This record gives sequence, structure tokens and C-alpha cells, in this order.
Amino acid sequence: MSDRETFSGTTVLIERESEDRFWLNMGPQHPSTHGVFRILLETEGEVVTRVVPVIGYLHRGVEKLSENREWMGAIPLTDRMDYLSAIYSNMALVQPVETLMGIEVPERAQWLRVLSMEINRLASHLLFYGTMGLDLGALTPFFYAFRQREKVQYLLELLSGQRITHNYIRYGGVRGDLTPAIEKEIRAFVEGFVPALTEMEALLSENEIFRGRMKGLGVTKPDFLESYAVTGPILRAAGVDWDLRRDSSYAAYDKMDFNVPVHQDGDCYARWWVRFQEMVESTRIIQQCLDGMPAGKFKKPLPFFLKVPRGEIYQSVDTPRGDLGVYVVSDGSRFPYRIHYRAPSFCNLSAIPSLIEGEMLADVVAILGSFDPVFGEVDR
Amino acid sequence: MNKVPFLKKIGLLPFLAGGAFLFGLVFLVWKVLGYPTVQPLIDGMRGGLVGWQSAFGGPGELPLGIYTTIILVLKLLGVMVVLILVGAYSTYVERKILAFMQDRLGPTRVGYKGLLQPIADGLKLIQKECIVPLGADKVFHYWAPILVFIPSMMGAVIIPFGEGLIPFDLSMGVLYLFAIGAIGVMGIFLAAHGSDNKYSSFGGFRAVGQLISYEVPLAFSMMTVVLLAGDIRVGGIIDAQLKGGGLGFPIWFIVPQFLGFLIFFIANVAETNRVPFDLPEAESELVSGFHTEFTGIRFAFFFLAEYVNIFIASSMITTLFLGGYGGFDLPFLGQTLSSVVWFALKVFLLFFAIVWLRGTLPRLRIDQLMELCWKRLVPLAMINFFVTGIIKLANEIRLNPNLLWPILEKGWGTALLFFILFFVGMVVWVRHLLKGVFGKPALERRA
Repeated sequence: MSDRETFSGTTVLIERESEDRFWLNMGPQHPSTHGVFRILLETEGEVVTRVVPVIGYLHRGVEKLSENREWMGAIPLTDRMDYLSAIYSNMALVQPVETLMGIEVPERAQWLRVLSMEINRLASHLLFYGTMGLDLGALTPFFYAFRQREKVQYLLELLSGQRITHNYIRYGGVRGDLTPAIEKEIRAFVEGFVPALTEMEALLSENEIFRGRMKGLGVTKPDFLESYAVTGPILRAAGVDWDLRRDSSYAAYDKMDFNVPVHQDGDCYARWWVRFQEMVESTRIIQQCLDGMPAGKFKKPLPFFLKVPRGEIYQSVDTPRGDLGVYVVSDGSRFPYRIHYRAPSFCNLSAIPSLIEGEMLADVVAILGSFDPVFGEVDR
Repeated sequence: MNKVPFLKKIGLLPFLAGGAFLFGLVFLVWKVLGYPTVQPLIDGMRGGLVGWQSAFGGPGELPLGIYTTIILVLKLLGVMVVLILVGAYSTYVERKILAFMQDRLGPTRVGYKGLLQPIADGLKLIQKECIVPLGADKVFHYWAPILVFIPSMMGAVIIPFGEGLIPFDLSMGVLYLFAIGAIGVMGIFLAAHGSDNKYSSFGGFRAVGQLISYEVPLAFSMMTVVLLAGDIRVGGIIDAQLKGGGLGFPIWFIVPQFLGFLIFFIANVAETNRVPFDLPEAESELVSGFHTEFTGIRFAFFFLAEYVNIFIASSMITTLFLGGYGGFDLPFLGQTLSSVVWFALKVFLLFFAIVWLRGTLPRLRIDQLMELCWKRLVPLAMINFFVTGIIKLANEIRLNPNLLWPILEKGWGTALLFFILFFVGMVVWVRHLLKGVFGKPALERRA
């Protein structure tokens, strides 16, 4: 049986399996698709029987644009990919290029990188905490989270001069130093943030309805996730102890003492729990960074027009969404020959359709929310 | 240019069609069911009027017909004005309470501390264009908001605002609310169907399923109170709590009927589509459910109806369980005014609790919602009703031992049948509980 359905002004021919089902177009303009994601759902009553995801509404050609800029000019473009954790994208690009050039980054710069990245992780996970509540219909967690996130944004603004597109990590170091004034601000924030975290956890984690909605929903097994190359908190929530911060210890992570939260269930609640515990660990890392910050230069002076030696390299960092890998090819000129990003959101998103099928309409939103994709990164 | 028929052009057609429909409905009810059905309504109105006349003095110089008409119109106008004000300002109160819970300020700009915000909102909604989608059913789209709004206003005429201030103490009493509430469901479904929008349809289906399901525990817990009070009139139920009509001693029914109170409260939250039962307008899934395609004054009707319904629900809980307007006389206020203050205070506390839920809880899934209703609330409400009935009967016999023999003689068969049914039902239900069917989701989850 086929049917003409009009979606967003274009009429398409879609097969329907039975008369009881119809196609529902969710997005790209929808309150809870986390950006511009579009899913076509074939529903039978409240149950979703088939899923057709459509991506590409936010495609800007970041990889191609990078080829026409100086090496320095490629960094601001990475801010625009994962706009919730921009500093990680900076780091992912800067690290392989430094390795190609063989630059020794000052110790203080490495510590500053860790500090800024972990503050950024707080911003990203706080947004997840708020939107997860909104997706389930709870209003208050959103306001609790955004009250804290505003302070985090302020700290990042002090460090980098920008609220969203931080552009903080540069080749050879970071953009600005940690002044005593900024350090005082960060210390004050961490002091207030730890009790706030307890409060936020109490709001949701023991809530009967929240647990009823999240537990046993969208259960993922490790081999299922590995077959889709899913990484990050989603993988850790399924019981796989995999964290590049600890396992490949880039920047100054080898000098930090932190735990990698792992949950065995692999359901939506586990993903929520893992992200929440990561916030706790991040505050620990931030505190260690402040206490043990080595003196020295925050940046190694480099010429503005970099020349990267011929070669190719792939390196990845652990972002709040998973492993962001960057494949850099240089032909020895002032411009990158090719930069490819392995975006974690893109890989994670590919696992969603098979999880959604057979669930109810309300759970579509919950599962999508628990994967926490950023569509600037999916579409690039 | 297309020639538009005159009636359609001025938008009278839906008015006429709907008017004829409603008139036909009333006529049909009158003809088929006959005068006795309508009799209690009229009697109740008369009774209420007599009460008011004695409160405000006799008819005096005016002929009785004109006097009663004036009083009738004044009462209806008064109820309408109070309701619209309450409906508008409960949005303000809700926003302020939510803001307090969420560490923000809420409305502050219009008037002193934002007190004129509801009026500004209303004016904005009134002057906005009513957009009708291209594929919408124009008649349904026009009539649905009205069909939702009017019943909620109608339901309010039996609210006991204070001592001697029950606008119409109908002899069919609290049953009237159920009759009226059913019309609102139809309005919601027409809104969903008439919008030509799949999200609206989902919202409409959910609303109808939810409202009809939750009427069952609602009615059961309400009838338990009626049983205790021995009266179905609103005034009678309050009197039973304040003066001891039903049980022989005055007590608020929340004490003997705490379970019933909880069931009634939960079912009322569900009936008014509030968090955690706001599935029909779940903004994260369905954009805004059945009123997605409504703008301007039509949306305002839905909005106002929702808050008026919350007010009615809170006042019904107050009436049935919290002793209505009862309370000691406050200084300087006099008896009537302090009863109004007590009533308002209790209603506000319940409204605060409902807003508190909204500030705390996420939303249920549709299968969890139905499970909560049919597998938990309905059996509990039935058991509550049954046990209360037995206790009430025992109390009656204690008060009047002569009743024992006639009851046993005439009713033993029925009693035995009910006991067997009750026992079987309990066994089935408890086995169901023990098997842990409730914890599992309705669908088989993917491993």
C-alpha cells in the first residue's frame, strides 16, 4: 500500500504497511529534536513501527572550508561544529597538528587546556541535564541547570573572551592566561557548584516517575554499540570502561586523579547517571588544576602563518559526546590539504533508529534526549 | 474572485449550525427523558433562589417573577465574572509560584509586581488573528473552544463560595459536574479532529482516553463521600461535615476518607490535564497537543477553561473532603465573609499543591498513565467504596438496631453475591500485583 504524504511542502510517496498506521513528521522544526533533526515516524497508535531519520539541515561544509584557510583559520570553524563543547573541538584539531610539527607545548598550557576543557564539560552536561528533564516534561531541572550553566559560561568568557565559540586552544598553547582574579572566580564557582549538584541530583534521581520513564528504556548492549562505533558516556553507560582521557592521557590528564563512571545497565537512566557523575568528576579535576597549576608560559610563540610539514595523522580526544577524532593531511603548505572529523554525535545518532522502533512516541524523545546529539557536529 | 455566501462571509453559519445542534440536543433530552429529568434542576434553582432571597431580604415591592429573574441574571453574571477573574489570575499565581520554585522572578513588568500581566495577556490574545488552517474543518474548529469553555463555566454554578453563597444548590448535586464534564471531552476531541494536524489528533486521542478513564476512580471516590454524608447536594455534604449529618458527629471527610481523598486528588489532577498527567498537551512530544492549531481568542478559551477547571476541581476537593467553607469565624469579618476566606484559603492550598506537582514531576507515559488508573486507582477506589459502605451500614444498625432484621431478610442474597464478587476480584487483583505485571512496560522491551 502506498500513500502520498506531504512533508514540509514536498509530496513524497511512502509505503504504509497497513491501514492502521500513518506517517508522522517530527522536525526539523520541533521543540525536542535538539536542533534541526527530522525523523519520519510510522506510528500505529502510540507505538512507532518504522523510523526514517533525515539529517543535513545544518550542513555548512566545515571540512571543505578548512582547506581554503590558513592553519590558524581552521580553529574557529571547529567551534561551530559542537557548539556546546567548543573547546574540545579546538583541542581535537590542535593536538594532531602540534604532533605533526613536533611542538613542545609548555606545561602550564597543558594544564590550562585540561582546566578549560573540564569547565566546558560542565557546560555541556548541564545543558543535557536540563533538556533531559524538559524532554520528560519536567520544567524545574532546566532552570536549575541553566542557573549554574550561566556561571560556567561566565567563567569560560573570562578565560577565552567568548561565551559560545570560545576559540581558546591555539597551536602551541592557549589564548589567555589564568590570572589570579579568574582563579578566584573559578574557586568561588566550584565552592557553590558542589552543593548545587547534590540538589540537582535529589530533584531527579530518586523521582519515581523519572525512574519509571528512564529505567529499562532504550537498552543497549556493548557489542551493539561497538558495531555502530558509539563512544563516550553512552558506551560507558553500557558497561564498557573506555575513556581516552585516562587511556591515552593527552594534555595533562595523566597528572590528574579522577574516576571514570561506568554503569552496567545501558538504559536511558544509566546514560543520565554517567553524565551526572562525570560532572562530579569534572569538578574534582578543576579543583586539582587550580591547586597544582605549574608556573611558566601559557603559550609557545609561533609565527602566524604556520607551515606544517608534509604528512598525515589521526588523533582523537574524549569530548562530552564521545571520541572526536581528527584526520589531518598536510602537503607542507600554509593550508591544510584535508581535514576530516570523526564526529561522535554522528556515530551515536546512527544507533538511534533501531532503538526507537517498537517504542512509544513519548519514548522517542526520551531516547533521543539521552543520546544528547549536537546537530552542528552531525551535519558539520 | 470566488463568490462567498453571505452567511459564510460573516461567519454566522457555524453559529447557526451549532445553535440548532444544541437546541436539538436539549429538545431531544426534554422529549425522550421527559420532565422528571429536568425537574431536579429547576427545583434546585428554586431552592437556591429562596435561600438567596432570605439572605438579601424578601422581594419587597417588585413582582416575584421579575425579582427572581433579576436575581438569576445577577447570580450568573457574578459567577462568570468571578470565574474569569479567578481563571486569569490563577495563571499569574501559577507563574509566580513556579518562578519561586525555579529561582526566578516571574512576571514583573506589567503593573505593580506584574499584577496586570493576565489582563495584558488577555488583551493580546483577543486582538490576535484567529488563524484557521487550510485543511481544517471550519465548523469544528470554530465550535470546539466554545464547547470546551462553556461546560467548565457551567460546572462552576454549584461551587459553594461561602456560607449561604451556593449559586445553585442543585438536588442532583455533584452528579451535575459529571454530566457537564462529559461535554468538555467532546469539545477537546472536536478541536483535535477539526485541526487537520496529526499532533492534534494524537493529543485528542490521548485526552479522550485519559479523561474517560479517570472519571471512574473520580466517581467512585466521590460516591464514597456521598455515602458517608447521606446527601448528594453540595450544601448537604458540607453540612454533614460541619454539623454531623451523615455519621452522627462533625468531622471533615479527609479523616475517615484519606484514601478517597488521595484518589480523588490524583484523578482530579488527571482530569484537568495537569503535570504529571499533561499528556494531551505534552509540549516535548506533541508540540502542544489538541490546541496546537488555535490562536487568539480561541486559544484563550482553551487556556481559560483549563484554569477554571482547576479551580472547580480544587473547590470540589475542598467541598467533599476539607469541610468546604467551614472554619472558625475570623475577627472583624463576620460569619459569611470569614467562610468565604476559609474557602478561598483551602482552594488556594490545593491549587498550590497542583502547581507544586508541576514544579517537581516529569510526565508519565501513556501506558503508565492507563496502568495507574485501571490497575491501581480503580480497584483501590472500589475497595474503599465497598468497605465504607459496610462500615456505614454497621453504623446505621448501631444507631437503629431495629433495622438489622429487615436488612438481613431482604438483602442477604445481594450481600452474598457482592461478597463473592469482591473476594474473587481481590484475589485476581492481588495475584496480578504479586506477579509484578505493574512494573513492566506494556510493550516488550528490546534487550
